[in-house]
Amino acid sequence: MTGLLDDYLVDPKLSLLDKTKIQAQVLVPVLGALRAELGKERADGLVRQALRDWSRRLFTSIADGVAGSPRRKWKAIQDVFGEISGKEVEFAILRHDPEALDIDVTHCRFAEFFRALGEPELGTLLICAADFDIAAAGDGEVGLERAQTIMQGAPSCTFRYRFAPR
Amino acid sequence: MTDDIAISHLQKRKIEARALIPFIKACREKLGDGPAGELIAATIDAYAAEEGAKWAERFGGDIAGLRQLAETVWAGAGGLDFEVVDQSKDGLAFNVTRCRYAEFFKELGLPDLGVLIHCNRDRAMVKGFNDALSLERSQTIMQGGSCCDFRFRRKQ
Repeated sequence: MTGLLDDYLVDPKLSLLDKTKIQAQVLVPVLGALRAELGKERADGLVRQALRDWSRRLFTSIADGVAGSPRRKWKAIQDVFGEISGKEVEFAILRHDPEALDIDVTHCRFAEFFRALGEPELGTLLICAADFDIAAAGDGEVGLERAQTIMQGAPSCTFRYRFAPR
Repeated sequence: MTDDIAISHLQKRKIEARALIPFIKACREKLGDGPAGELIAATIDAYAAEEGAKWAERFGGDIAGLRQLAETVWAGAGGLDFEVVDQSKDGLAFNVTRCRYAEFFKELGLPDLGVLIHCNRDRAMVKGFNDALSLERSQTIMQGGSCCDFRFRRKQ
């Protein structure tokens, strides 16, 4: 069931990892040219802003298309995104109850790809940031904290979801 | 990096465009349309020339290979409808009568970006495919023409 994210995926038959690789393949050289023009810091800042705005708008618009409470919107999107991104990671669920969901991701093919490419920040923007934009759909009813990610060089990604009382 | 991914050319271009569009818009705001366009075009051209070289390996870098490329890759999965006007060992002329790539950019309201990141790369692609060939095209659907008149010729 990927219908909700069809527009995001462009081609639902394609894995999220392959989709992300196609985007990285074209973005990395353009980013390199921009760095040569503006310097790394300014270029990366510009790209960070552009890709963050894009991802936020994209998931806001997907959430607008789901009926119901913020919690329900989050769950609808998270279920689909979790299914497609979950294929590329190994994880352990440490806690799952009405108040909290704690997940540690211990192996991540997205991180492997972007770290091998030497562009983990691009990976953070294209993949890791989506989790926060999806959590934002749970406006006030779902919170996410993540102290570290494999993409940033840590041994695991520590997802800590907290849910408001119903 | 992604050579082994089985996906139509049309879908691949759409996926690239989704990520490139916010990036190009930000570059235009920061640098101005002209300089941003030059920067993007130079990078896309280098990427297209590499792609052209790979296609030449796959199809053969001659006119027959070019036709096979247009039929199987560009027009694959309904990406293009085109009619061949003329083909010889020294040239290939065809008119694209429907272009789903242009439809995609037009639906987004961004045909100017379509010209920049899709149509304009064809000349660089030919350079990578076979530098002895040239491409002339007086109009494109992306720019509002009734067809795209591709005219590939062996350089004199």
